[in-house]
Formats: sequence, structure tokens, C-alpha cells
Amino acid sequence: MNISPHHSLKIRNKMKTLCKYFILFLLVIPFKQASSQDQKEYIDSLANMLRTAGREWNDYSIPLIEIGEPAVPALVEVVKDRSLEQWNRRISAMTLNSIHSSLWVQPALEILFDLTEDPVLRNHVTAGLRGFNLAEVRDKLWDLFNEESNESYKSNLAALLMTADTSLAYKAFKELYNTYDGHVQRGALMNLVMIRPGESTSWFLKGIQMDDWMTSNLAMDSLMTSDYFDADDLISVYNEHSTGDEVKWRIVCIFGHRDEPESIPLLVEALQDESWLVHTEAAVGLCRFEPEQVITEMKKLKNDSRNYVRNNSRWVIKHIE
Amino acid sequence: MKNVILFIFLFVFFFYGCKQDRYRFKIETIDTENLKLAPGYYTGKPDLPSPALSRDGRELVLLNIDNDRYTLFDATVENGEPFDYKRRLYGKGNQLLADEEDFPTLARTGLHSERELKNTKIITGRSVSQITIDGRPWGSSGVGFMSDDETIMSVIMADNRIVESLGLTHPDLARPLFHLWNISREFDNYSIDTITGDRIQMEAILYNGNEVKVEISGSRGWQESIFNDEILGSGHIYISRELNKEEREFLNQNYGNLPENKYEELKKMLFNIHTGELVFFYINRYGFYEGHTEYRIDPVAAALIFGMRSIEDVHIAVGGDLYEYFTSPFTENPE
Repeated sequence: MNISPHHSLKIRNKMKTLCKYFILFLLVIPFKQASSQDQKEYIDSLANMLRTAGREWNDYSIPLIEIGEPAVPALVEVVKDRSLEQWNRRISAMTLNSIHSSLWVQPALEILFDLTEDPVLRNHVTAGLRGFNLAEVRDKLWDLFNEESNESYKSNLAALLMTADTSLAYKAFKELYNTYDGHVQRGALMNLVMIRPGESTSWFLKGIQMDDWMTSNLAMDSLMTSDYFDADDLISVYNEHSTGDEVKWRIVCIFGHRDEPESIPLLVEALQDESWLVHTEAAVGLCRFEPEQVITEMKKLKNDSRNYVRNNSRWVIKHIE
Repeated sequence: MKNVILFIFLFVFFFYGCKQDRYRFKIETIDTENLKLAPGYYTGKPDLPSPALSRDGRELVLLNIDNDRYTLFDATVENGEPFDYKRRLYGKGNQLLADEEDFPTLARTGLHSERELKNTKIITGRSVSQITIDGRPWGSSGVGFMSDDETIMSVIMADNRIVESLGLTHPDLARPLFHLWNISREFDNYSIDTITGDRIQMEAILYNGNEVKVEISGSRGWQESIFNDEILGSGHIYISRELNKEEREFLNQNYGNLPENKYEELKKMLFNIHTGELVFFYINRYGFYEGHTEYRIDPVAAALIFGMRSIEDVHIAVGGDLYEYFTSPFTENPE
């Protein structure tokens, strides 16, 4: 076989290039090893700082969160070290929660189910478990939920049940909703309708009748925009004799923000309610609709015998036109 | 030429006149050329009116600092840099801003028109019923901005009537409150004696011949406004003053037949205010002093404490029964 000088030059060049890459490859391996060695040392040094860190703990925690999963084993060691102050174990757990790696799930579960562990640390680790499939430990989670009395801890456990067993989560949130108020009740309500959206009108309707301001405001706001809406349920509560002014006001407020066939008839009825809260909100609500839908009804009320009805209907006409 | 002069006259009259109309209680103007403003001070009480207005429009208030030392402080009520706890901005905020969109008469004259109040169903884009629900106890705050049987409009209307019968305006009542607020905020900058290095305490604010005591303490976090505005509150502000001889005699004469506990309660309601800075802004912007809650700044008490009206004046303004006035909630809605 004859090889032309031109071809021979080409082959030589190719060989040269291959050699270059090979040498580069040989150089990169130790560099990469050195680099991962450096990172490990860096992680260890930061994790060690967390063992004794005080208020400046974010200086070590934030870089570890940025590193992410490679930092998990070193941090787990710190959390597991019972000789440390609880504070240092907790800040390490919080760092792990923020990394949110699956490598943290098993150690976190061990801490969660260890009754001899620091209760605050056990509560903290729940944040790191959110979103992971916990079906295998659903019974243990449910038992723990029933054994606990602290409302914040119970809420966190209920949140874990969301990814363990939704029927148990529903039971848990139902209990929380009926037992507590404020943030816990509000959070429970949101989760209940997330699990069973079809029941949302019923849950939110219960919500607007709650004494707790946070829950009732959330329920009211949700009913203003919810895709699941049953006007008849709300109207029947509105018409109940025992329904107080504030609940009636909330129902009027909801219909004032929804373009439902029942909205205007209910608002016109509410405009004639004796309660200042109710008829004032009805007047404001009616102004959100198209004039042609409202004016005729308002004109009928312009000469009503009741002063507030006359004034409010005139106010609506003036503001809607 | 005549027309031009007339035009200039009318222009000046309307602009200057409208601005002045928001205040009915006039402050004396003084020449400030030779006065010692903070951090300078006087030993012994200077013979100066307080508050006073400088020729360039600055509002000056005399403070008693450490025993016998007095200083004149620039406490001008004005719109300044933003005041926002959330963003850690501690400027003066909008101290002169009135809600012109919802209450044009208030913005122009310093008092509401009842006709406007009767037609008010929305304030700052929120329905008045929503504001009422949020403002009642256990709404957006535990104590609330009004009592359970009051509404935002019943409170605004009742206070507007009382302020009018006092012959004052809402900005008149907001001004001394902003004065003490501006002084308290700035006082730390002047609280070290530049010669001795000693810490200077603020003993009292001298206001229309009265020594008004002020204590301010912070709290954790802040209170959101019930209106759709930027106003936030955080501090506990205690304002008080001692009764003078004439006031004691007047109260003894006219309210001496009250049971002792009610008599003491009345004195406390007349000469003590516990509130938050959020209410100062509310008064000027909406004519809202809060309803019957522990944070209310009663206009009668404010007019009396800051020496804008005498005990006799306020007794007459409320119809001759101060105890009844202070203890009755405002339940009548304008409609």
C-alpha cells in the first residue's frame, strides 16, 4: 500500500492531537481528585465550624447549602453527635433541611422516631422530610401524630402524612382544624381542601363561620376565587335565622366578587338587610357588576320606605353609571 | 393691570388661605435669629412661646432637658423620607398627607363634611364594612381599632363632630402629636452634652404653657394598617400631664359628685393617652382617632393636654358631661 506524503502528514497530525488529549486526560484525573479532596476538606471545615457556631452560624451554613448534596454526610455526622450542644445540632439539621437531599431522609427519620432525642430537634427535622415519599413509615407517623400534644409539632407531622398517606393526612388535618385556631387552623383548612378539592365549598363555608379571624378571612378569600363553588350552600347559610351579621357580611362579600347567576339577587336582598355591615357591603358589591344588570333593581328601591335602602340604591346608581 | 393684580390677589388668597384653613389653632410666629436651637440650650426657662413658628416656616418646640435646662427643637410636621418598619426606613413619612380621593373636604379644610361621610362606602379602595371587620377586636389586632359595636364610619363621624365643636380641625390635633413624635425620634442625636459628655434626658415638652410628659417604648414587630395604605405602627406612646389648680377646681366643682373611682377614671381619661404612632397618621389622613379601645387618642384629651382648649371649653364641647362622653361608644352610622 502506497501512502502519499499528504496522507502521511494527515495521520501524523491526528496522532499528535490524540497524544495531546491523552496527556490532558492524564493531567485532569489527579487535578479532579485534588479538587474533590479540596472540596471535602472545605466541607469538613465548615461542618466542624457548625459544631461550635453561635449567632454567626449562617456564615458556615449558607456555603454548605450552596455546595448541596456532597455536604450531607458531614452534616449528618454533626447532627448525630449527641455530645454537642442542642443548638449546634439544630442549626446543622436546619442546614440539611435547606439542602433537601434524599440522603438526609433516613437519618432524619431515625431522629424523628427516637423518643429519647431532643424534642425541638425532632420537630426541626420534619422540615427536611417534606416532599419525600414516606409511605413506608405512615403508621409510625400516624402513631406519633396521635401521641403528640404540641400543636406546631402535630401540624408538621400532619404535613408529612401528605406524602405518606393522604387519607391519614386528611384525618390529621381535620383534627387540627377542629382543635386549634390561628395559624394551625388556617394551615389545616388549606391542606384539607388540597386533599379533597371537591369538598372545598363545604370546608370554606365552615371556615367563614369560624370565630378565628385568620381562618375566616382565608376561607372568604378562597371562596371568592375558588373553582369549586356551590352557591346554594352559601345562600342557605345566609338565609338561616341564626346566622350572624359577620357571617352574612362574608357571604355578601363573596357574591360581590363572583359573577354567578345568584350574585345580583342575593346582593339586592342584602342591600335591604338591616345590618349596616351587610347592606353597605352589598352596595359596594353591586357596583362591580355591569350597570344594565343592576340599575333596574336599584331604581325599584329608590323610593323604598326605608331610609338606608333609598340612600344605598341611589349611591349604587350614582357610582355604577 | 387691575385684572392682573386681582388675579395675583386671588391666587395668593386661595393658595395661602386654603393651606392655612387646615389649621384653626394658630401658632405664634417668632424671630429666631438669636435663639439657641438644639443642641444648644438655655439654663433656666426662656420666655418663649412653645410651639412657635419661625419666619421661614419651621415649627419649634421648647423641651425641658435635665432639671433647669431647656432647648428649642425643630419639630416641623412635614412630608419627609419614607417611614416604613418593614424596609427599615425611619424618615418622617407622609405627615401632612390627607386622603383627598376619599375625603376631599377633609383634605381642603381639615374637617369632614357629613354629606361626604354619608356617601362614603369605600376608603383607600377597601369597603368600609371590610375595614370595620378588620378593625374590631380580634380582627387584624387583638385589641382592635374600634369596639365591637362601633364601625369605622360611626367613629369617624362622631369624632368629626366633637373636633368641630371644639373649634379645631384634625390637623390641629395631629400637629402636637407629630411634634412630640418628631422630637422623640430625633432626640437621641442631641442626647449627649457636648461639653460634659453627660447623657441628657428629655423631661417634658412645653406646649401652650403645659409640661407634657412623653414615654415611648418599642415593641417586637409591627401592626399593619386597616386601610390600604403604607402606615404601620410599632411603639407604645404614653402622653400625660398634671392637672393645674384651675382644672382641679373645675373638676371638683362639676364632677365632684361622681363616685371616687369614676372621678379618678375621668381624670385619667382627660390627662393621659396611651397610643401608637399609627394613630397620628390616621388623624391627619382620615380624621380617625380609633374607637373606644386602649389605643384611642381622644380629641378632647389631646386638646386639653396640649393646651389648645381649657377644661371648661371641653366640658361645654361635649355637652356638659365628660364622663358620659368618654365612656359611651360611637354607634351611630352616617347614612
